[in-house]
Amino acid sequence: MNALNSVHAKNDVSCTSCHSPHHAKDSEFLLVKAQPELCFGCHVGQKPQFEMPFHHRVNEGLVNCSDCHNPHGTVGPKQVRTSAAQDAVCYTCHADKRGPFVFEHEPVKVEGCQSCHTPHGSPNAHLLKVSNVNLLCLSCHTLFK
Amino acid sequence: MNSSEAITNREKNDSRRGRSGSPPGKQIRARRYCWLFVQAAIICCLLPAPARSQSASESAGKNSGNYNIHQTVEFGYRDSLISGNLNNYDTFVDLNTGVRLFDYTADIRSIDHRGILFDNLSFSNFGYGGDPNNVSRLRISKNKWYDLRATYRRDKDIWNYNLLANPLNPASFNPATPVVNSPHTLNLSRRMQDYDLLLLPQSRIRLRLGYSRNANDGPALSTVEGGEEPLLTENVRYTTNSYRIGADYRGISKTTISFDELLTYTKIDNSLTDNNLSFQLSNGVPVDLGLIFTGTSPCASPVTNPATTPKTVTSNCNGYLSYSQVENPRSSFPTERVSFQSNYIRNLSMAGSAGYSSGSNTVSAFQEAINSWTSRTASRGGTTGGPAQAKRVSVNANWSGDYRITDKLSVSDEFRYDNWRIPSMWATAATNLYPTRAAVVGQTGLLLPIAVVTPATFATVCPASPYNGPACPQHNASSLADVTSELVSRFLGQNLRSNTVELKYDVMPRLSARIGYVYTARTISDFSATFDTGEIYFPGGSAGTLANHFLAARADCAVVLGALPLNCTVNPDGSIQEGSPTNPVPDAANDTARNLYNIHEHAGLLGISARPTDTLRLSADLLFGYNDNSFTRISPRQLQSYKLHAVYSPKPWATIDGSVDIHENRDNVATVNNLEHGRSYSFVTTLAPNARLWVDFGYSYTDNYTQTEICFPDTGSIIFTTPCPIAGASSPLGTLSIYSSMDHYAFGDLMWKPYKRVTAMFGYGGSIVRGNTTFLNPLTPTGTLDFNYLKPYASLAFDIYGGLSYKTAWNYYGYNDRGIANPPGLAPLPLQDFNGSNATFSVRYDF
Repeated sequence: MNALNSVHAKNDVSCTSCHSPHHAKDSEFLLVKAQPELCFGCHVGQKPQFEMPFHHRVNEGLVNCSDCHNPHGTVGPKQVRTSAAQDAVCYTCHADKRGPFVFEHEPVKVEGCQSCHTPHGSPNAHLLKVSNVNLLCLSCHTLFK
Repeated sequence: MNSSEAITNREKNDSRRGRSGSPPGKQIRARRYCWLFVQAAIICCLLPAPARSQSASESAGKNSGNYNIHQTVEFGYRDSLISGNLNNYDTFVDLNTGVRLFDYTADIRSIDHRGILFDNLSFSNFGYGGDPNNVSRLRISKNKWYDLRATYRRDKDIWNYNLLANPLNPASFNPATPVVNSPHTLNLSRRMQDYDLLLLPQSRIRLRLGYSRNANDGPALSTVEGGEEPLLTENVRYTTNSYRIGADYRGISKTTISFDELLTYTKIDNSLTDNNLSFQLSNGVPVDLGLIFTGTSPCASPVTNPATTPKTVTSNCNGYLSYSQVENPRSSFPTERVSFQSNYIRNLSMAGSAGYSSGSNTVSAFQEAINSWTSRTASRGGTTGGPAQAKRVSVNANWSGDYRITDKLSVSDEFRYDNWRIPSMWATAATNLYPTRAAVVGQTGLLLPIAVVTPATFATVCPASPYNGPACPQHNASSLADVTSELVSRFLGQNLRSNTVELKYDVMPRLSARIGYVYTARTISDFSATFDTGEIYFPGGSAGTLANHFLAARADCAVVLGALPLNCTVNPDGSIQEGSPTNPVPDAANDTARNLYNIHEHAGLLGISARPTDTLRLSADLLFGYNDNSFTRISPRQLQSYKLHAVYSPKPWATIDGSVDIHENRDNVATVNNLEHGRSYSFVTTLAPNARLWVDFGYSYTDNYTQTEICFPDTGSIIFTTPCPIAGASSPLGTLSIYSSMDHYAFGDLMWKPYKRVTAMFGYGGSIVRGNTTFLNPLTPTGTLDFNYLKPYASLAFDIYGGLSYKTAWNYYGYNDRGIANPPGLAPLPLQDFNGSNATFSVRYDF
């Protein structure tokens, strides 16, 4: 991916905004601050999502922001990584959902997991977009054509 | 003890060490924590000023030969005091009592960058000793020779939130049966390992090798859809191994060309059994009546003798005597990818890749076996099996370039092509089992013997009409086929082409603006067809007559206007057969051609990045999109996105950060009326006037909303009375379903060093969520629609001597359900609230 085309670069976020060759706090990538605090420094609206009862274990240190997002840019939206086969990054951990299956839930493969889930965190169980899972199903599986 | 018990017993163990819910115990423990904090504070105040200027906790490491070695280790003890709903605590937090390694790091660096085996080594770890998340990261590198990175992560994922998939049994049913544990409980251990080795990192040709392993196992609970939903114990076990090999060629100036070969292999060995046999029949045989106890499920009055242990139930109830399912899917994804990056052409930077993947998932040994009674179809169970295979073939390519036309003007373009398809097939082999006539007087339902017949033996076992001999299967008019062989063929694919072009202009040295356009064309195709390659209906049943071929003419082969359907033929043994391997019969609902969905997406982009002063930085990203079609009812046809971000730093030690993030999605065509928005407003202030004081605080408000017209068949509803305009549907009722959530999050942290040796930290974070939604069932608790989730903390650390420091910390987790936990009429469920105090006492050594 061309880093100059990344959302970060387009918003004039330079290399030294995140990396410091001399005063790094994180030895692996010479980051000025460890993840996720580095990312929350700008993405302040994302921090509350990881404080929800149901959330991916980012604050706990199990998952890094850069496990799912490529800060240097991707060809897809939101700088979300994909597998080499252009499959969703979610399957890296949730491998049992990858399939391919005879009976696919088609929106998962076509529109992505975020059709039903909010990936960072949610008040709702299983990171669902709504509290009542029946309503989510009925949104599409309804008698209306 | 089986795994189901292991899970459900967690709730009973309220009295185990460190988790006492009794008020006296809580008070004593709370007093002890306060006393320990006071003791620590007194010790800190009495400490003399440090003799040396450098903090004892900041070691420069030790030199040994050619290396500087710097290590830190923090270990100690956590004492947890948890009361309330332990299942929710474990699901949300799961930090418990015990000795822990909180942190260990080692940094070894070659002083002159001429180490024998390595120049740099960094090793970090945390969470070992019983915490749910354990992570180790290792990086070793030697300048021109190699760079090795290894990660090990373990995630203990306990999930037992009982309001998901809960049948919400009413209190009025006899017996009232609340489902207090989640029917989809999970107790999973996920172990993830990643290894990446880069060889000759600075040479013209460098090699990359990688391996990842993701192993998941643990007990879980699950249910079977439909009917009474038996509670099943699941042994979850699946593993993914990924292998990577690649090479980079950098022989062309400012250009890197790469090739990667990747193989991902996944094996799943999950199995399901029914261990929830919590009732018994009159003959003492254990039985599972499922989770739904309402109306006529599993039957109107199941318990015939409540005095026995377990309770005795009638055999006419729908229920399970046994259930088992095993499947062993094996999937592999070989992928080849070529990619490049280049700045070879002046003012033009480019990158691109092309890849091909041909994945396959094969199930060769799926087997489901059920011993049950279903009164509607008079079935005594069944089996399902048959091999299945699905493939995923993917071809993808992308190119992006950024060309600087002048010093102020640049244009970028990004093209993406992604074409994948999933063809699949399943050769179903299923049987429905039916009982014989009662062998003794009074034998009914679950007590009835299962008729053991096959197409090969039926003529011998049931030689003549009316096929009601003692060993003959007995059906009713709603019974399904005795033997079902089908061929299922399905297809799903998407061809996506997308291009983004963007013009960026530096209006002034401190102001740049962007304008762009995104065009995406998608063609989605799907296909589904099922062919009967042998459905066999045995005759037999008390309602059998010559006209209905002694009940062999039923379901697909029911008599219509006095004759069998065209594809149904009567066999010499009296059974009726639809289709055969040489004469497959298509289902009426089959697709005859692929369904195509063409979607053309247009979006305009606007962006501004400005630094009006040295202390203020602003950025804005706007998107306005229109799609001429939608794949699902909740896929947007119109979308808008507004992202605004401002950072103000009036002093080098003070920063105020604010952001607005608004997304609006609409698919508001007739009968859909889908509107969604997520609107988030946040600010954070950070103040660090000196090394001894640091403060940050912030607030965020998020408003999430979604609405969609829904229409569903419902009879007897007193809530939804609006008829939907659906021709031919049975009792369809509709409403505009809504979900809204207003989320407030506030936090504050204070770090204070009253003395050089002492560091105190205080903080608070809290989420307050209030929402509203459509309730389809008046017995539904509001759950996480309304709650307060508060997490204050405090810690006190002081340096003792020579890199040795001591730390005491307190973390509190308080979850408070602010909605309706037990609506009137619901068989009472446990309250959702919990309060958890964790005190940690640790020693840190920096050397």
